[in-house]
Amino acid sequence: MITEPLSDFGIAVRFDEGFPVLYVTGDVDLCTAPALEAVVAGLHGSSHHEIVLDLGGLQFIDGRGLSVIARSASTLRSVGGRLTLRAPNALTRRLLDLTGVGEGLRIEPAKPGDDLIGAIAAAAQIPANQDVVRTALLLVVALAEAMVDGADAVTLSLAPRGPLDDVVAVDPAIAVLDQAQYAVGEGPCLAAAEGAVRFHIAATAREDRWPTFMPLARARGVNSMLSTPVRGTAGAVGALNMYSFRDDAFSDGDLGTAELLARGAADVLHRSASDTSTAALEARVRDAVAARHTIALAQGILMGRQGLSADDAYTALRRESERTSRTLSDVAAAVAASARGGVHDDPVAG
Amino acid sequence: MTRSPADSLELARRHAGLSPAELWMRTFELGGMSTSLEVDAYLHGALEPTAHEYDVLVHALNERFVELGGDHPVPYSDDDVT
Repeated sequence: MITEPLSDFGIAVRFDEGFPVLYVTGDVDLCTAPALEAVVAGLHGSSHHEIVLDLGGLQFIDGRGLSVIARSASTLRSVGGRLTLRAPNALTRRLLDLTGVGEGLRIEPAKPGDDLIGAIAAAAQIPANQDVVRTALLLVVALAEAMVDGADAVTLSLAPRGPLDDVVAVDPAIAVLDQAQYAVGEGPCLAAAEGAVRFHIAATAREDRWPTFMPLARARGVNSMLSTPVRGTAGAVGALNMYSFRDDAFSDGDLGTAELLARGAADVLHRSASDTSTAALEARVRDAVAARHTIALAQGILMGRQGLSADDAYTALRRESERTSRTLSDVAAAVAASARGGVHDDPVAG
Repeated sequence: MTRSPADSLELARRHAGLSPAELWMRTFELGGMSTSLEVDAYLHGALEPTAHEYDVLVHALNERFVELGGDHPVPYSDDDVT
């Protein structure tokens, strides 16, 4: 039986001007929603009736999590209090709207750029081909260049399934610096991706790590750099790299914005999930249509031979698939073949 | 602890390592009639599938578990019927 939680779930409670703020990270689902409800109930029991749920770190929420939000909001309202949701991403916001849980709730806007990141991530939903995903990632890079004052150029270096070998950049001239790191096997973007930690180089002239790469960066006029890991579900899948021609170009705020944008890039990659090219996707859809046709044909044969309804015929195919551990498609193909061969003994019992 | 059908489907989906859209594609290959939005809604408990569509979804999950070396761990809607 499947029972254990599948994600890094966490709640951090801080007090902001006397009001509790719950920073929720990871997934709120069947396994973790009771813990969230218990924390909210504990605060309510301690006479805190104005509670903020900061959902900026929320990766996923299911029906159980939405129910906890709805119940908590109702409980607080009944004593004249309020539950506020802060910074839900665009997909969470959509769920709140679709289910009606968001109705009557105070929802504070996300940090600047969050809605845009969410919109970009939502635009790359599967089934999508690599062109759509790449376009969405280019938008993240362009957004980074627009939002981070210190950045003169931004790249995204990716390795969804292996060593870094793909660079997304608006300016191909700066992409050369990422590629140089791959070539020499060292550099902050490689280090950020491998170690899943951020590297901030305030001045390349004073940096003695990466002795082969740093002179290359300085030769191109790069004086400060910021590499932020793009974290997938099983570790970093790349790095968001910002280059500046000035020393000490990146403020603390820029570091936070880079984290936000790296999370957006991770969302795009996570939601795309498939690396199917356009041609491969077309082939898959073609095969799927053919499989459906064979299954429908087999249903029809069983309906005719055994007097079954369409659903019962499908159930017969499904049970045979389960019994023999063959795919349903293979079972259907055998039924179809039996009809073509004039065989009258059904490979599937009704 | 009693788990709703939607919770069971969603947990199974995540353990099978299938994204919602990949699950939809597999149900489509198996002759399912639900749209990807409907499958998403089933997984969140926002819509209840018919028994037939539920079983198509479950079979897509179970075929995936077989690919991963398992058996058919997710029960069908008629599994208690003898």
